Amino acid sequence: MASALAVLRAELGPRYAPVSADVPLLSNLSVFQNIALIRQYHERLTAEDSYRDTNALLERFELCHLAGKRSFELSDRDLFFVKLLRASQRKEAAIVIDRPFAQIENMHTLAPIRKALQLLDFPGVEGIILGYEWNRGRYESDGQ
Amino acid sequence: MNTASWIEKLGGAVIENWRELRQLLGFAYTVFRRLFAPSSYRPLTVDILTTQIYFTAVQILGFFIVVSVLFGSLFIGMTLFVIKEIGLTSYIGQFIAGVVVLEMAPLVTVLLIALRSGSAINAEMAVMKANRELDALTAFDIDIARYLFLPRIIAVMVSVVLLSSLFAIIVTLSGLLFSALIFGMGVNAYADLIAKAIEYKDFLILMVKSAAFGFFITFIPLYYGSRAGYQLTAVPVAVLRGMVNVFIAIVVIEVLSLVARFL
Repeated sequence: MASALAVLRAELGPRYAPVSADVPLLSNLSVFQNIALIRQYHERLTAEDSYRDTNALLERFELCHLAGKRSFELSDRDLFFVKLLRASQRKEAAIVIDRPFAQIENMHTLAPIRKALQLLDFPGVEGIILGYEWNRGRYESDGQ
Repeated sequence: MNTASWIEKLGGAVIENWRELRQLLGFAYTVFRRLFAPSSYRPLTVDILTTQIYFTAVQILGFFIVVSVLFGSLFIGMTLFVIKEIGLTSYIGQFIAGVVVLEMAPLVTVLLIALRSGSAINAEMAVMKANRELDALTAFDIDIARYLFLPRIIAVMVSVVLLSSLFAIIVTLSGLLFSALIFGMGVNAYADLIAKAIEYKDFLILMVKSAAFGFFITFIPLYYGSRAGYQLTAVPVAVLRGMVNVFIAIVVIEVLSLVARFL
């Protein structure tokens, strides 16, 4: 799977936005800072400029209560969605979700992830889900 | 050991050291290129720089002032007493300017900052490497030299220069107190002695030396920390190697500055 991610990274270039267990949040930053970091770095936003947008994003996903927390304080599910929000901050992001069922325990269908991707209605954003062929049934279990 | 295996061992060591040197020089080139590139200085860099100066210079300030007062006063008091005993009173200015301000101030400061911030930076980088956080930054096209290395290097350089100057000021004031107590010297006479003993060149040496200390006690931990392995057991090894090399760098800079002063 690591090689599949490497191929996608090479193909997608600056749009590559991974949500993977191998691409962790920075442990010395809060959830808010992890999400804001991407645009602060690439779009040279000040902390004040990025504050409003990051806050709005957390509100949209009803994750404001996580804003000040560090990665070790998060559940699997929270960690996954924070990584998803971070990935969405790349310009025209191609969000590559690596083996979602391995990242969130006790998730039986992809419905919560599909719903989250629909909420990320930024221009040019697309979602790519990577999984094993033998797990296809589980990916299709919500009829999509 | 026969000659062939001895030569093989020597060759292996040379190749290994050459490889290490090339990596170190490559790392230094990357850091210097970012240091002088205006594009490196974005609002985020300035935010991190401010935070790092706070961690390095401001958080330690109370403790540093106490150490400066205690250590400086003890050292000045004892030495001035000896100077009086051996009848070298006229050399007080040269002693305070030459030994205390130019040598002791940067050395004590850099040892304190290296022990506190240098080791913290070394461990932070090694842990980030082991946790794949450095890879995560690269995956999002965030240049770790710009985002992590540059603000830390500049912050520690600024902090060492400022704290060395503060140490020099505190110890010079201690000298004033002890000169009055031991020699019955007035403020004007003391200020006159110090002014005659210090040249502008000395201030320049103090600043350059402190900045060089600051650079190397950050650069070396960053290098060894970011080159650690992906296992958590690599963290203490990286810190150990980094801090031993920091100590060597401090000794080398100290020797070079002494040579520069007396040439």
